[in-house]
Amino acid sequence: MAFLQITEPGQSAAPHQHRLAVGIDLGTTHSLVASVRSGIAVALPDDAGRTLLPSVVHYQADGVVDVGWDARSNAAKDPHNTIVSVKRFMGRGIEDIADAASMPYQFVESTGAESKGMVKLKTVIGELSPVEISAEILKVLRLRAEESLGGELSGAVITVPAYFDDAQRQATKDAARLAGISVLRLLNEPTAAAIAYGLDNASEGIYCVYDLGGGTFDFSILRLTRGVFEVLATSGDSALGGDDFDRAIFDWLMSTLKLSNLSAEDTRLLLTESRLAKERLTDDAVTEISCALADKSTVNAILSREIFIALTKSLLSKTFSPVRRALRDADLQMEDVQGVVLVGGATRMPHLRVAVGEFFYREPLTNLDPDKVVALGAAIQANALAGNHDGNELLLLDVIPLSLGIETMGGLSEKIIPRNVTIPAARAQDFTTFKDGQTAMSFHVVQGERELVSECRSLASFELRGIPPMVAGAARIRVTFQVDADGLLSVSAREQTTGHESQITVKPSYGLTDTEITQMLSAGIANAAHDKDMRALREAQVEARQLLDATETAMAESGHELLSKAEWDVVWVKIYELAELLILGDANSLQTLRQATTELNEATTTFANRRMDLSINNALSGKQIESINI
Amino acid sequence: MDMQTLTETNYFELFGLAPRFSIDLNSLERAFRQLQSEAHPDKHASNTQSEQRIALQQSTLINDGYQTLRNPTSRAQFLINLSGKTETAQALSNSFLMAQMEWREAIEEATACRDVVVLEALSKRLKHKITLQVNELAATLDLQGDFAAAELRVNELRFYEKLRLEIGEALDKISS
Repeated sequence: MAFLQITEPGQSAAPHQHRLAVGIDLGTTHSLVASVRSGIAVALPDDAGRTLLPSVVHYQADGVVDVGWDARSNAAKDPHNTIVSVKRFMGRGIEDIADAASMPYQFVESTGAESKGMVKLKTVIGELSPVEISAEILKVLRLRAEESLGGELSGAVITVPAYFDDAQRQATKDAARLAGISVLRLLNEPTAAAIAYGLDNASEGIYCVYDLGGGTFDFSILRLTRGVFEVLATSGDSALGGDDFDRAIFDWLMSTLKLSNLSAEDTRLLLTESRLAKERLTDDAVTEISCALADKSTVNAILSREIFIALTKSLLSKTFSPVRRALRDADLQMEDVQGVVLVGGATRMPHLRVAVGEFFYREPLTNLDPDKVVALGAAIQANALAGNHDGNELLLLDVIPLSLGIETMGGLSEKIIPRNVTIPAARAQDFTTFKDGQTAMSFHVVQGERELVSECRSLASFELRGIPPMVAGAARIRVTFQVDADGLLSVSAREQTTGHESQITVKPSYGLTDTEITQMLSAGIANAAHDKDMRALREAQVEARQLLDATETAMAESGHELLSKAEWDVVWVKIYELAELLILGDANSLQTLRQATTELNEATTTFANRRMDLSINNALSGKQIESINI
Repeated sequence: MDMQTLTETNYFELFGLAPRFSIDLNSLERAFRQLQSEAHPDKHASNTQSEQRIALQQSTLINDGYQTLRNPTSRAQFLINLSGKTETAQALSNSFLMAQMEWREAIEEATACRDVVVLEALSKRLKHKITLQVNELAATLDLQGDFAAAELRVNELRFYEKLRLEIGEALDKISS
């Protein structure tokens, strides 16, 4: 068997293939994809040489879906079916969308079992969730990357606003899955920008990232030390962005020209004209807005930069209270800050640059393209996560943006994990029964800073059953909250006194179930059932291959050192079993392949534990030697 | 995450530090970064699932340990718990509680008048107070080894930290 020769025990594994990994900035107004090529992060262009892709999706009655520039030019013609700034609706319910009435969309509430309450948009091809719409944008970027890099992607780092809550993060991850992208990590946008900026300028010290995107505002404070990017605090406003500056011009037009009851088409047209006027005011002191509405009446107005500044003064000052909060959370003074990096297209506005400069008493840093810097940072991180080591050792320590809590008596939220704690993080909290013989208990998990549960975001409700009957107050139920490196939460519970385990993992209530995702994946595809099976098989094969690859590398590195002869043999038996199954290819049964993968995973648990202990011990002994030398 | 590990790990050992209140924060920081550069899930993203799971657990533990030891209040509490001497702490003195009320009144008054200058002065005074309290705590734990007295000082320190949060929130409210 050819396979055996490649992986003969004791021989070092074949060198890692360079894995194709990309960074994707899924933005409110624009999205882009970047990758590290020959050691340098570059944004990947489309056929016409453009790197930016407008985050606009146009659905046509015949099922054709347009994404990007063409879709954007249709926005005014077909506003109901042309979805702009879909990111604003990710992980959101109808009641969260403040200006829903003034948008040219028909919002409906999802009735799906798991995604209940999530907002959906009515289009010519049916009701669509923001997750499905975002997936269309991601699919285009995936294709662009695969064509440009010449192969299938092994994974992507997708950026999210640092201030995105659990619901918005989960929705982003679901969209990627729907687009057939394996998510290596969700990365906070300001952190991504800091990576690109920090590595480019070899910066050290305390840096702030002021990131005003199309729909979100993020502010992060980081400490940069020799390849370590440590986020000290983050804050922001997930409903404030460049779009609001467009809207300020739009509202001004409406009131000065005494317009009212505009059609959806005219609304979209005026919003676009407002955005263009805003962009022109970056270079010009005065600009003219003129266009024709559907009823042939014309709109003519002259907007000066002074008026624009006055119109948006309150929007701008709204960004500084999160800035102050973050500085306080990090226990820092303005003098401690080495530099302020500006990110996001909206930071091109001259009066914003002046305001930021005056606030920090220093000129903001703008030497990287504010539209690209996030995607470039994500590409660098993706390259590192895929295991393509290029000598640039990089460590990111990010934080959770909003506190996690559970509902207690009186509808109050008790904070379990406070905001700005470094992730991954876990906290345990003990609860007890309040009635004799009580066998179940319900929990409600929320996210947010407010004291009242009703003012926080509801993440999940779950019931813990099977508590052994005891007198009131005798049971000790330990609930553990774990936030992973993507900033996503899982909860588990265990009754301590009897050792009765009731492990549960909570999938937040707004998320999509696997069934829902599978349904969405197969919708609209001919031979849906067969395609679905093939897809599942492909996914299982990729997973098995990755596991084999990782295990063989690990065995070659430290198998001899850490495993007894018997243990070594067990792992290799499982490796061979899985490898043989893979050779069968499509003749494979999905069930058997999954079973063999699980078995190899289980067989390597002890080995994995020892490897981790070894590397941790090495890290510390290295440290002790260092302190003796000093 | 196995919570048993989270509650039983000796964080001083984890970071290679002697179990004392006075620690070199630079050494702590250095050890933290070294450990995370091995254990962080990002370093194991292309490894086996078992390794990814263990990395998540270890990295969580290292973060928790760093947080616990970096903050003087939680570091002192951790040392007291480690000593196994868990006598009930003495009650807070009346004069301490009186002083607390005065602090609170001063903060409320300045907030009502939207007086940023007074709030900032209060914040400075409080910072100084906390520094003194931490110094005393160091002597109580490292020189005298008096855990009962230390417990009382830790409780007082918690009050000061609460006040600091309140001043910050008041400043935030006024400036927004």
